Amino acid sequence: MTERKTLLAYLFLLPALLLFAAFFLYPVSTSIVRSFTDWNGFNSAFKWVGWRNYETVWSDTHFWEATGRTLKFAFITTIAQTVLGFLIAYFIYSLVSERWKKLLRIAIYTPVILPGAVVSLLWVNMLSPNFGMVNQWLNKLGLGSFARGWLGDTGTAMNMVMAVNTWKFIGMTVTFYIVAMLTIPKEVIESAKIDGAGKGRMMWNIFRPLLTGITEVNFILSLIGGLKAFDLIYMMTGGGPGDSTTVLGIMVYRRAFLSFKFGEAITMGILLFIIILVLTLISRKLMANREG
Amino acid sequence: MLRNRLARWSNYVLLSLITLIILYPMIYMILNSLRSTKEIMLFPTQLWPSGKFQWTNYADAFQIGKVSVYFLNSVTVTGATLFFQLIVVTLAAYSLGKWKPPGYRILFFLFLATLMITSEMTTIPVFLMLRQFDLLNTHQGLILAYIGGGIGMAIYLIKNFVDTLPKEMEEAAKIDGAGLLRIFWSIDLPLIVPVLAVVSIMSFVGVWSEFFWALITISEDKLKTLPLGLLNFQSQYNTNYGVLLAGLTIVTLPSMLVYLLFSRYFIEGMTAGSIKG
Repeated sequence: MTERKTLLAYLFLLPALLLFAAFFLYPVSTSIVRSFTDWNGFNSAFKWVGWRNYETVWSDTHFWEATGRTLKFAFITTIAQTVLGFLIAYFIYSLVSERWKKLLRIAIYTPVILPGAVVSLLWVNMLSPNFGMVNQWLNKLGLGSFARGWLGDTGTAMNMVMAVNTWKFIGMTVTFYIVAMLTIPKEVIESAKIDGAGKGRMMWNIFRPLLTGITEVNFILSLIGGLKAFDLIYMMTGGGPGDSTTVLGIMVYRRAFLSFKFGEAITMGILLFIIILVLTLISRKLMANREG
Repeated sequence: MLRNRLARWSNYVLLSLITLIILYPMIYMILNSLRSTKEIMLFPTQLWPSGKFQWTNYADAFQIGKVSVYFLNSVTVTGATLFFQLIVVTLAAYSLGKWKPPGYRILFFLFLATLMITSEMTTIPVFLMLRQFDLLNTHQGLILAYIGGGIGMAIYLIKNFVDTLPKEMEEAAKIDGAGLLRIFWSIDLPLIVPVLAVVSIMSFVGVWSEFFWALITISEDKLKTLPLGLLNFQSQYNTNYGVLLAGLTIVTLPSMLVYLLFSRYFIEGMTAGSIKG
């Protein structure tokens, strides 16, 4: 490699490296360092406080409640997305008409593209107590006694944000599954059919094991997405009513940008990162074991 | 035979139901964006409005709701982000994939590592950094944050594509005396356009919809992008549902159009990194 070429190569890399330094290297190292200080984010003065932020966050019951809610949100949406996504993908895959297949694949991915702000406000509107579409349908179907202010009720708010999250992102899971299903050799499916395998058997004994790889990808992507959830919840409920939908993302935001406790917020961010990392590693491990 | 046909029909019924659940909210949004609040409250909603289409909802959203301002802001921010991001990531990915300077493996690994880092680790320091440089409440700050956040994925996708570039044309060009830059610009760049298209489409949809960065960095109303502006808009039009839905439709249309026109690129982009792995 000539000197000129090397120089040019580094020159080409320079802008990206500067961005890397500014948006990843610097923030991650600062996060870790500042989590050991009493820094309030305003003046440059700060004192080392050792593990105090970690102790504060650790002994904060609100933090643990938010962690519990986050885990609940992430796991339920992930399981719903994976199971329903698999079933829907299988149904679309087994359609005969190519045109329908294509149409449905496009349709089901559309909500994934919709801006989170639109999805949130649209569903807030549809779940509104007075003339939201959902309550109107319930009344119409004679189930009026179930009608309520879905997002204003501590008993239902969390379920609703989970349902809307699943509605928005299931298209991603379905698409991944369909693309993977298309790579399964036709002979395998044909011979299973000849052996008289019904739909249920086919799904469980042929498709499920052959799709473990993509199930893992889907599972981990949904899980990480769920653990980081912010937009939808912030706009649909703002974390309420009460604290019923205050997940970690919302809590970190409030700590930093509403109470200006940047040290604590950064610490929570680091703990959330660790939770995500550990859960990702565990789920990878579990799935790898089952495969083997 | 009959059983087969029945099974097939039940399949279609089930799928139509699923499609309806998926699409109903969007159809509801678009149809009701052309109605008066009074008509929206009627139930069941007629597919076709009994009165005239309320095009004024759109006019109101644009003018009184200031969607025109937010829209322009979104176009500026998204356009600038895409433009600069594409330049930065194309140069970097080309260098890594084609010229492989000493240490390129480590550098590539660093860019990949950004995919593992969650925004919770970076948001607050970046926010404070932008404040230090007086970039809060500016489009420049927002654009910088967007460009910086997305480089990992883009470099990964483009570099994988650069790895597959053919050598023959280049050899011929070298004999004709073409330099490194000439080969980059006239021979290789046109060949990587397809992957650049994938990257820009994905980046467009991401930036157009982005909410969190806009929320924490922009507080001045006239600088807000569409997703953020919608929040004001919602409180302003709490009772005028038609106008609210018109606003939502306006935000949705660009992403929807891009998606419908380029839907196959979405699948390509999504599956590029994950299926094989």
